[in-house]
Amino acid sequence: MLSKTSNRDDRFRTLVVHFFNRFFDTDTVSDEPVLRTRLIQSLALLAVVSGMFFMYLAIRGGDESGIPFTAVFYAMVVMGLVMTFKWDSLFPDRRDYLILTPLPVSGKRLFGAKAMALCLFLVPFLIAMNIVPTLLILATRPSTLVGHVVAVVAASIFSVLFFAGLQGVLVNVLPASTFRKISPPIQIISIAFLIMLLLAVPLLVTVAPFLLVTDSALLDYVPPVWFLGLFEVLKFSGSAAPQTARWALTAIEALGLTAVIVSLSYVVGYRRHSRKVLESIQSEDFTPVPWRTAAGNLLHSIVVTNAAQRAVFEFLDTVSARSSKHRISAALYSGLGLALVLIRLFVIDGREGFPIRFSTSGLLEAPAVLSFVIVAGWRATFGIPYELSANWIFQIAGRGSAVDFRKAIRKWVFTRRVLPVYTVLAICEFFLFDAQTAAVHLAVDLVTTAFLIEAFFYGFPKVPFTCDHLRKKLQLAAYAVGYLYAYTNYVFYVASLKSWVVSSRSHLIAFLITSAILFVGIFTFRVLARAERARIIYDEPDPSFLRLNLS
Amino acid sequence: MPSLEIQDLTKRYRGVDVVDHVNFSISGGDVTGYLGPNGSGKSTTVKMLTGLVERTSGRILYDGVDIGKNLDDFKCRLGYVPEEAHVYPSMTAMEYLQLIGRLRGMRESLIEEKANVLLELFGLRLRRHSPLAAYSKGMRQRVLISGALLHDPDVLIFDEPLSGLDVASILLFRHLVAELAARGKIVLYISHVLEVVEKLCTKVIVIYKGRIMAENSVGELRDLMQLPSLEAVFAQLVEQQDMAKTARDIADAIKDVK
Repeated sequence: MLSKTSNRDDRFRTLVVHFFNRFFDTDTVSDEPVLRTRLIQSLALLAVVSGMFFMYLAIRGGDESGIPFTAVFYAMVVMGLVMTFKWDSLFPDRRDYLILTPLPVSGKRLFGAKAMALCLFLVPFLIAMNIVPTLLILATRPSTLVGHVVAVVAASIFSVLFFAGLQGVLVNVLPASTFRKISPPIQIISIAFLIMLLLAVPLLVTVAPFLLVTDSALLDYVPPVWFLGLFEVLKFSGSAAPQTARWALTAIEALGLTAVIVSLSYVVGYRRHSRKVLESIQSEDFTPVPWRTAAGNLLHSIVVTNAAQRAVFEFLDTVSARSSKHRISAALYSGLGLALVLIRLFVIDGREGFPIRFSTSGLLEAPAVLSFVIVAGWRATFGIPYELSANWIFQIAGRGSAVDFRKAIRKWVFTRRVLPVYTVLAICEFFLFDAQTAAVHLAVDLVTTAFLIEAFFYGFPKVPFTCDHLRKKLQLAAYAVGYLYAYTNYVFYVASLKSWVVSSRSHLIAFLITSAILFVGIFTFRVLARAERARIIYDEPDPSFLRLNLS
Repeated sequence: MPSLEIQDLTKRYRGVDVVDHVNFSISGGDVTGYLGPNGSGKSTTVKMLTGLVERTSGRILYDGVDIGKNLDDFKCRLGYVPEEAHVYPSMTAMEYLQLIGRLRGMRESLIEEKANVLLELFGLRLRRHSPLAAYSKGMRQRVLISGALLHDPDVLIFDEPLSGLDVASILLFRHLVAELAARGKIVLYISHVLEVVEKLCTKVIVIYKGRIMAENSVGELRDLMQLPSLEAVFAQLVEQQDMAKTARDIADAIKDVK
């Protein structure tokens, strides 16, 4: 009996270790050590950035609840981000089931081990982001340490349970095909939203004390405030203000509710989940819906008019929609873009009343911010490989394909990524400005974005997603500086240009004529320099040399 | 001798019986070929046997006991080579076998010993610490076969085991299957390579559209249907299309592209 139990424990431990390693597992050989290193770098970065930010808050002093609120908020966002990054690995995946199910391991243990591995994976993040604020509180207000630790840990657990529960409910409630359809958008929106919150911390930290002082009812609906209530209750040993007690109670209720949901969806639903994962592929169907086919045909007849262009265009569409790592990359850039727009639109102004005001100059800058982040983001995302060993499909394409491939890339970025964003922006523009001004703004934004695409993709030597250029660290730093410089200037000059063009009809005409001349110039240069015909470079998958040992 | 008995086994997907009341039995020492065209229900039957897919109805008895009563116990006796070479690409062959051995509850020293011996015999010892992503399809297949044999199982299910193997490995594998059967193991062999099935299997089961069409020894099937080969028997049973005509149709379909 004893040996049987210890045998089971050994198997469970093996499974936990296995699932923990699977968080770093990818389909390529070289990625695992890279990902491990990247994890350690991320943890170090997390500790340093949070440390610097909390040190700044501590030095600034003043508001007493600044550090606890920020710590709780930060913990929730970071844990949420980790969960959404690992959205596809929260449950065992198809490969796990296919390999492990024929072995003598019960479904319950499989799930138990997965949950344990997930906890082990999350703990270092919790420690890394809280080490500095905890030390700061220990040094400045040791009596509040317990409250701080409890609030931060509870907030982190809530965030983890929220996303685990969300996926658990969706997996169990929805048919497999529906879940597969809505899971990627949920992941993208969540990551983008959390990144935006993370980068907008200074704005939120400025607003929070104002809302606290005015006892705004809005705070009852902000999860970090519930856990701040928990901190306040523990800090004052039960003699806290009624509103904080109410928030603390909400925090406990929310924690309990998410725990119940996760327990139900994981413990009760694990069998259903494994069945769905294993059987869903049998009924997987990517038959295009009629309206999409019609829209695709229309696009083909207007924008991508030849077969080679269509091939790359559709390839970009498919990979960006179905590949998890590319979705995450796109979501990161979306979140960054939204956060930068927020920071431009709302500026901190502590002179009187509400500490944040709307910026009209930010309104002119917002489209430029978004277009820069979209174009630069997709330029970077194209460098993440999808399936390197499938490169041969593009390599065997006939002569002249390089020209079409490059055209398709520019067209895809413009029509598939820039235009949808500008459609939404157009609604805002026409709502906020008179029709003529809005139209001119949009024209300037679209033309400058077209130039931006030309700049970013001039002589782009790769078919997107078929190359792997993880640059050296020094290069990455140089790129970061370059991008920051380009971003700042681009946004500033586009906003200035817009103001100038709107100011008179002659300016508008001058702008349009100059743009037309520039486009003709670029086109002519491209033809003369034969830049479009330059060879496309393909990366090979990880080299695997096989020794024949013939001698 | 152990036995495996399948009674009225059925799997229904979206109202369609992909495996429809299948019955057959296999005894230790037999190599049973399980044949059928793509989509006939072979792999679904196997997945139900291995616990990968839940059965809609029916029973699977091992030595007279329903495996559902103690699935883990049955899995301890099962060795399985899947149709697709599902492995963790970043693991080495040795790490993969260690994982399998540990999850089967084997002692570390035994795993080490058996894994080394198997990898040596399958010609992979020198590459045992290379990640599986760098392996060819045939090499991965040999690792999967090693994993299936590691714990000396009583029941062996090989789903297209020859996929990607070179000629020497195919010959080795054929001898290995015969040897394992001679030692009393239950062997279920799924393949499209009818020539190998004809030479290797003591019994053949033909499944088509989820239903068993025939179950007999190869010789008796040929005699019964008065056909010269298993290939001819198979074609007759599963109503394959006129291959020559289909080939002409394909050639016609691809012309005039340029």
